[in-house]
Amino acid sequence: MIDRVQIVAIGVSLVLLISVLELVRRRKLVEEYSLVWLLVAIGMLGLSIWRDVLDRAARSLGVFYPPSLLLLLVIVLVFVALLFFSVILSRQRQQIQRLTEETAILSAEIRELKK
Amino acid sequence: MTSTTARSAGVSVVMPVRNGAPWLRAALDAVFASSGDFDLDVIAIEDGSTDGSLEILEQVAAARPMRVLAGPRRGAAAAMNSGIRAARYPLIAQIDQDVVVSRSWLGQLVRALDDPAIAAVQGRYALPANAGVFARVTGVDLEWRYAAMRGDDTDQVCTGNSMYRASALHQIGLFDETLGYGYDNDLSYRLRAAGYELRFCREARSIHHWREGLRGYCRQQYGLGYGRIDLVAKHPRRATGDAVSPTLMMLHPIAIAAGVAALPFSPIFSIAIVAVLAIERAIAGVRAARFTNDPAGLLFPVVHLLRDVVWVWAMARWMARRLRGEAPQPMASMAPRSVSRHSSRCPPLGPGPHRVLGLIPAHNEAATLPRVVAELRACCADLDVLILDDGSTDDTQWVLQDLGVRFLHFPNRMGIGSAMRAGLRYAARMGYDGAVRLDGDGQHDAEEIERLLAPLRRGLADVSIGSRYSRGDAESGEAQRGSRAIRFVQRSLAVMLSLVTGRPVTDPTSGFCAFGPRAVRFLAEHHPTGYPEPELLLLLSRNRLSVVEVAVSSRPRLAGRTSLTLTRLATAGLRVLLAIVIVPLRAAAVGSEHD
Repeated sequence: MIDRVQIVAIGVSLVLLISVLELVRRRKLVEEYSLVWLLVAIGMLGLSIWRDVLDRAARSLGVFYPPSLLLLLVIVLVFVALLFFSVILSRQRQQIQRLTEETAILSAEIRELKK
Repeated sequence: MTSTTARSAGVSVVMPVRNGAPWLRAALDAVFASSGDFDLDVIAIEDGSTDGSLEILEQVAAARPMRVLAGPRRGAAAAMNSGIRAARYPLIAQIDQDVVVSRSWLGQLVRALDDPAIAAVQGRYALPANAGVFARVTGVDLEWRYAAMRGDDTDQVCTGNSMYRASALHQIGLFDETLGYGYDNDLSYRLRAAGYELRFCREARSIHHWREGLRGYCRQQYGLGYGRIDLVAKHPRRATGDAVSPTLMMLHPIAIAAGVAALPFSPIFSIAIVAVLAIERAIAGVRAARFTNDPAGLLFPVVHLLRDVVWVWAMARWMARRLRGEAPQPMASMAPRSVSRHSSRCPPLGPGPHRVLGLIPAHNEAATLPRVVAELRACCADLDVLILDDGSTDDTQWVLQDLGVRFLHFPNRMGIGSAMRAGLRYAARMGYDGAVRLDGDGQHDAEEIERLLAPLRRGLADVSIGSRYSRGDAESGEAQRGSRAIRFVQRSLAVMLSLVTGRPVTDPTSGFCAFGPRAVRFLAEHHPTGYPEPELLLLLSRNRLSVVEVAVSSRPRLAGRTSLTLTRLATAGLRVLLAIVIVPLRAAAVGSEHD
């Protein structure tokens, strides 16, 4: 029993999955960071195909209205993704700092060599 | 036997050794240095070491008047008894392998034993400069308990830095070899019962390397608790303690045991017991911290409740063994233990010019830099200077080129911490031994650089920090200009850092500091970024680099605004709070870099 909502949901998930893969293929997204998005897209696809999974999970968790469980899942996922990006950001900041330090040292050494 | 014969005859020294390689040489050197006019007859009793202690002993014995008795593992009491039996002289000093006696130690104890009614005398333990937190708590506690004893008369002489009259020992039959801990208390009680007096000699100081770390502390306390019960079983009337271990201390574990027993019936009662004990320890801790001037005393409530719990556990194990009818199993007091990796000697800064690099972090300081540089050139001609131009947007870069000094230019503003890290890495790569940091706004007096470097040149510390407040004159420097809120935040920062680093910190935001060789190499990779000064103190303490504070004056900055705004300081306070939780949990950043 496939209805229109399900077809739209599957379509959106597929578009997301394919665009992530395409970005990786064009090297606009490094594999490392694409992983979290791929997991999100696959999860969405799974949930839109097997809708009763969501219903059953909601019932067993005591959630009255199944779509709110979906929202909760989305929020958790977004949180995880944000945390992940903060980690990446911190690492990049450290790398930039190191690089700036090194360039400063190198240019000082070059200045002294020129003298 | 009169004192003159004792003096002419000399002194026997008994040192039981098991796995004492890290301290052994220092301990023996100190014994020989303390000998003065006395003939020494040093007897080291090797008790089954596995860490090469025997080899060290044999090396020392080849050069010095020392005998080594090697044997199987028999325990400290048995080892000491065999040493006492082999002793040649009527006075026997007993020194532990991890105790470094002072130069006058031996003479003072011999003098204390002049009176033939006195059978034993004990010196005073002090802490090594690099002691960890748990060792400090142990040391401060003992110091405080000694302070509570009035006069020199005592009923308890601890082994380890003590001297005995051989005839008295033989009369009462030496140490009880069935005891693993507490054999010294037992011996003291028996000496007193035989009519002898015991003395405590405050002047005879020795440094004791206590066990370090949580595990070492718990293990030692477990042994002490277990031994204490053995002791009480043998001397039931001593259940109330003695001069060194007062009744209150003996009551603590019993109260904790009662609290644990009551837990299922009345949790409120248990909590009340713990609260009362914690308050009692907190009061004692504050007084001890004041008395010894070491903030480690403030940790009494936590550490001593831990001790009580460990003692209760030891009591429970002891009871269980008794109920099962097993033979009493003494705990070895000389079990192998972990050693702090820190070697107490810091490599000193080499003498001679151009070994130290002056680092001046500057951000938009074009107005003041020429004067700062001129002052440095005038008073410290030996000092090479490197300006760290942290992304200045004014004329700083051109001013620097005109001045003809060396500088690092950062295209973006990276923050002082990052700039310092680069400067220190530059120093390390160019082969400098040390570095000094001073600010580009002229608030640090270049004349005081040598004062800052002095402790490093003598190898006393890895880092010295100029403190504007350690003199206690509230009129000087920032104190005068800073608002009360700023002072409050700064003071709480200082208290927090003192507590965590276990060393008084009076100026947590000082930017005037000097780094020795070990610190330069370490910080070239690990200098904290962000708000670096307080975090630097945490990092150094976590990695066991030693820090001293040197009092410096503070001048008003020549121009520009202070970076010490209230919001910045408050943020720093929060960051330090976070760091206080995180940094100790982090693994030390150094592996083998400074061993």
